[in-house]
Amino acid sequence: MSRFVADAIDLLLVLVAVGVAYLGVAATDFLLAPRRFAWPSPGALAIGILGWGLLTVYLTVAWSGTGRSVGKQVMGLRVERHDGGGLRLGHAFLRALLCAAFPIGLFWSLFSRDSASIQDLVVRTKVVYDWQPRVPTRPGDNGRTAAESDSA
Amino acid sequence: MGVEETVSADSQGGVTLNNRAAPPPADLVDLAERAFRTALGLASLVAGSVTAAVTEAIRGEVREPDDEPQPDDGESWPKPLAPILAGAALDVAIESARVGTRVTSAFGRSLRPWISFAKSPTFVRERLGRIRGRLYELDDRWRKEQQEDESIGSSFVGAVVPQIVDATLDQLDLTELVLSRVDFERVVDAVDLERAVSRVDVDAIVSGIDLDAIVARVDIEAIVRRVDLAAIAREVIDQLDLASIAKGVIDEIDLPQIMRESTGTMANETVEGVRVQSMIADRTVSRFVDRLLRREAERDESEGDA
Repeated sequence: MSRFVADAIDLLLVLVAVGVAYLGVAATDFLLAPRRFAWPSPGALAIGILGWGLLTVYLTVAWSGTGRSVGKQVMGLRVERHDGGGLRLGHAFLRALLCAAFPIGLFWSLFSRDSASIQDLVVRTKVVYDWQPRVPTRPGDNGRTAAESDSA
Repeated sequence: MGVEETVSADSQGGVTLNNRAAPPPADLVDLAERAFRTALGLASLVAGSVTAAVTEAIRGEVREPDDEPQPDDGESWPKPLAPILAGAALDVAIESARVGTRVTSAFGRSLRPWISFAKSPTFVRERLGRIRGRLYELDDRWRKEQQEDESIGSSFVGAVVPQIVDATLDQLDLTELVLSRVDFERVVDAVDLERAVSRVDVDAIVSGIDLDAIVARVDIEAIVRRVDLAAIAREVIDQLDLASIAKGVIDEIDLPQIMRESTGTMANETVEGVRVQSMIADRTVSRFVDRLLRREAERDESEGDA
């Protein structure tokens, strides 16, 4: 469940980015030729390619960096190699490509015994929980992790 | 005259002594007259007092000290006959004495040349010389015995006077006398109160006081109840500049930081809430799917695969 929420968040982010890009283009158009301004209509394909490209790039960067995209950060998840290490750039790129091209594969994680999606199986990664519940011990605490707090 | 200088009568008829010595007598006659008048004055004073006492005893009236009878004039009170007769007799005596002394002195003055003439012949002078010598001897003898006589006299006085004084004081109400005659203001003014007070050991006095017992008797509850605390509080609040105090407090406690932290904490808690919920959802879904697929083996959730 958490994976889907994370991915949904990421997707939403990318869509927003696409929207912003579109608006940017429109604004530039307007600035350059205000009198002849008309909303640009690049067509669905262009937008789809743009979105897909953005998604891939974004996911690659995120997973190769911390193993977390924004969505995964929110849900406290992380992408790791099968042996527990972080992803290299190429690895991440491959995975991002597969996720962007074949999102259906993610649903396999519901059924998989290891909660692995098709992409995970292909590139040998896994998605794990990566957060400690923060236990506020005293008012005014930022909340420390369970390991740091000194009271139960 | 010389007598008036040493002794004078004040307005109330009492006698006060002035601290001035009389000048030496001009001559024997004057001295004699003065002595005679002193004796007469004393006698008249005594007589007056005795008469007044007798009269009082007879009549039973209460007299004030102011009403001491004036010598010889009896103006201040009704005139019984005896004092008048006595006064008249005394006055006659004084006058006759005065006349007598004057006549005598005049006669003596007139006689002086005759006396000196009578003294001039030698045999008279011899005689007179012998008489004078005898007189000197007698005088010397008297003077030698004078000391002894005087000491006898003074010891007698020393023995008798205390008894007389005692008897006198028994007749007087000394307390009343002191109260009426002593100016206590002046007495108190003369007393150095500061020195007297400085000799008082206040420490000892205070240490003798049991302050605990005193305070225990004070009903503090009643006092506190009477205090209008609401009014006091209101006044205090009015006096305080609450706005600046509040501003100072806010500046000190860094309210923005607290808000940031609480917001951050809120955000964290929200996120954590979401994460926990999604974890639970994950588990639920996976169990559901497992049951659906009739998988007996549990999923490996020890590592927390999402």
